[in-house]
Amino acid sequence: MTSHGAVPGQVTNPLVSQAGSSELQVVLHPLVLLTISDYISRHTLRGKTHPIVGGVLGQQNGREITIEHAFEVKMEEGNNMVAVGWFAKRLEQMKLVHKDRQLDLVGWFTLLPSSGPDESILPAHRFFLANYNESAILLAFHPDQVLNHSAGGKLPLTIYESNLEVEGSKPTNDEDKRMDDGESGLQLRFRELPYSVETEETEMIGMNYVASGSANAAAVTSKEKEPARSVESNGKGKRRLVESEEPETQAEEGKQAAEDTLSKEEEEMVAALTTKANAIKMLQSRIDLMTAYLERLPPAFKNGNSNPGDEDADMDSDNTVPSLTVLRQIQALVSRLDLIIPSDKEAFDKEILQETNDVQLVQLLNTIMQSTEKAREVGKTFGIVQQGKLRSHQQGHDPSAGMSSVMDMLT
Amino acid sequence: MENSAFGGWMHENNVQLVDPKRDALYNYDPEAQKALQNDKPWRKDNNYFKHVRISAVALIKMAMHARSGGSLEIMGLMQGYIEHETFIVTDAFRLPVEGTETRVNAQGEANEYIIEYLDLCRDQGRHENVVGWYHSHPGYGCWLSGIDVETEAMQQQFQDPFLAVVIDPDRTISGGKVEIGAFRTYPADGTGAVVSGSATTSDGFQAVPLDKAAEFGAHANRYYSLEVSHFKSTLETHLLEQLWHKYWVQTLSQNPLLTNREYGNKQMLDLSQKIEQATKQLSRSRGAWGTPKTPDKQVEKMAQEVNAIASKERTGLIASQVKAELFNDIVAKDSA
Repeated sequence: MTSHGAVPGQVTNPLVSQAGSSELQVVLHPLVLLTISDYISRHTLRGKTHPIVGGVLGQQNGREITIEHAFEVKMEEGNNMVAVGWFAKRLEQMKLVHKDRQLDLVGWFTLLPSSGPDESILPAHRFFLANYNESAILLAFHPDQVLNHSAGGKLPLTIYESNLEVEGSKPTNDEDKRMDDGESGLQLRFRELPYSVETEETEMIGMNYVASGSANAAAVTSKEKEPARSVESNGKGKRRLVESEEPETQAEEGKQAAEDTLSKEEEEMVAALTTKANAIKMLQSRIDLMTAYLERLPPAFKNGNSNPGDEDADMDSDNTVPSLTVLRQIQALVSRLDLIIPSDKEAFDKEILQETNDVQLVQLLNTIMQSTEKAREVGKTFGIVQQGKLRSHQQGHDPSAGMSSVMDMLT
Repeated sequence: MENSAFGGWMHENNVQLVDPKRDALYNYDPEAQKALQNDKPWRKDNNYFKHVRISAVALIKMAMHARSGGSLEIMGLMQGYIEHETFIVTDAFRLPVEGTETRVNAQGEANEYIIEYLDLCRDQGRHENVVGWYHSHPGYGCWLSGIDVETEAMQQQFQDPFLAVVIDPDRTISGGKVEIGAFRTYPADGTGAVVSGSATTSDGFQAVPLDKAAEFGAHANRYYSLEVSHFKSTLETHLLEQLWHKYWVQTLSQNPLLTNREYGNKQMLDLSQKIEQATKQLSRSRGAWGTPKTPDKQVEKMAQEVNAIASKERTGLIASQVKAELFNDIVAKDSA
């Protein structure tokens, strides 16, 4: 998955370089993304206000930089600067425990709008450049892209490298002078880097496991807020269990909460359906893309004119450029569609039916099991009630008193 | 410009990234923690803690750390907090020690590291306490050895509430799912109750498959296992969905009913054996007025298991139904 370059029409950020592409290739591991999002969730929920900043560890092999691990970084109060002493110690610790892969600091991350870095991050960036890594990269997480539900597949993340560039055409205002590095014309500029997401086996299995289980982080509630029970003894020496008055409202709330949160199986179903829905959306968008391409071919070409080169390029129309390779591929795809049709439609349908039947059978068994359990419970309750009735009759007491104590025991 | 990246507007917008109800576990309430610490309900009940919820980040970090050790056991600590009968693990960090199976006080060597690490955390605003330790058993399964039991018992004596987690990186890879177990020990004076078969596996099933029960080792009566589940934030869910777009083709084309046929069959077989056992137990004790507790709990557990299997099957069926909907009506080119 690669990120794309600057979108045309975007407001140009004075800090973002427009120069040609870089030679560096970045490989990003998904754990880093999760670490950042974990930090954001915690930070926001706990109402913290300091900037979200962290360091990023990886390997640097020639032109390839891997980003494998991330950790939070403490900032100084109010001046957008990293807590220097704190950071030195923490980095030492990280390098110590990641010796197995010899990870070192390759850059840092923070939250930025989609327009890119602005001046407030320069002090921190310069700190990393000067003291730890001359080619430190900046990993920018874009919360605004998450909120806008950007088109599927693109991660809300941009990776920048920084270079000192000779300033070409300076805008006439004087603001740039502030960023001057002392040398005339050399400015710090950020350039987008293409990145790909790769994962190693254990990470992949972990991600799969975490992604499929749909467990959300709803709070753990005690299922029965047990009402305070006090043991009373009345004059005749018989003890009774007495409940406090309180639980009425709590029980109501508890029930409401239980209905709002989905059960584990329901959540898993929701997750599976969402993934399917996303996959279908992708398929649809790809098909749409292909049909749009075909529809927009120049009409002369569609009519069988075999010399597309003779036509004047019609700059006004919206036509796509016919490419013989692509067209050949599309035709191959369409003819391959025939392969999906099963040779023996009847047997195929029968097997699908069998599978459906098997699954429904399992559902039936499940229902039987649940009913058995419920029946047991009813039987148990009934047995207890019977016991209570018998005992109270034997002892000649008012049966309703015994009943209420039994009902208390049940709730 | 006032929209400075470190400025306030980011915070206002960030609020929309989280869902206070569904992401509640990411919050940390020091007051509630203090109250629980004072109350110490786990002192009265050796089986008080029954569940563990591990954050996605902590889980993956621990799994990767276990893998990185190769055939050597590795060790680390977990941070988090506790709630009603549950450990919540929010983060995990590595310790610079290796080969921890042969000594009880492996943690002692890393004391300096631990103290400095926690200091830095608190400095940075991260106030969760250490709630447990994790280590790996490369290739030999998730259970507690004699030394592990001693280590954990000691920690529970002095640092309760404390949890022991074991990961097997080799079985993780060969099985294709994270092999992890969480345990707590009973005090050495044998006051703990023993319920055989009360262990859990990482896929949420509440009982150990009968063939694995023997693995629990010679010290099986000194500890019990807790139910492990994980959690992730809504933001993480969103990111994972984006990441998984790469695999959309696989999502549509796979047939989970087919691929999981063997596993599903095994589970159903195992479950039927357990049901048989339970029915035998129940028929023996029938007629007694005070019905014993254990068969009831077993019935409950089995009902849950059946439910889990049924819903997995249902999901698989939906996959093939989707496929049928999309592709079954393709008409051959010639006949069109």
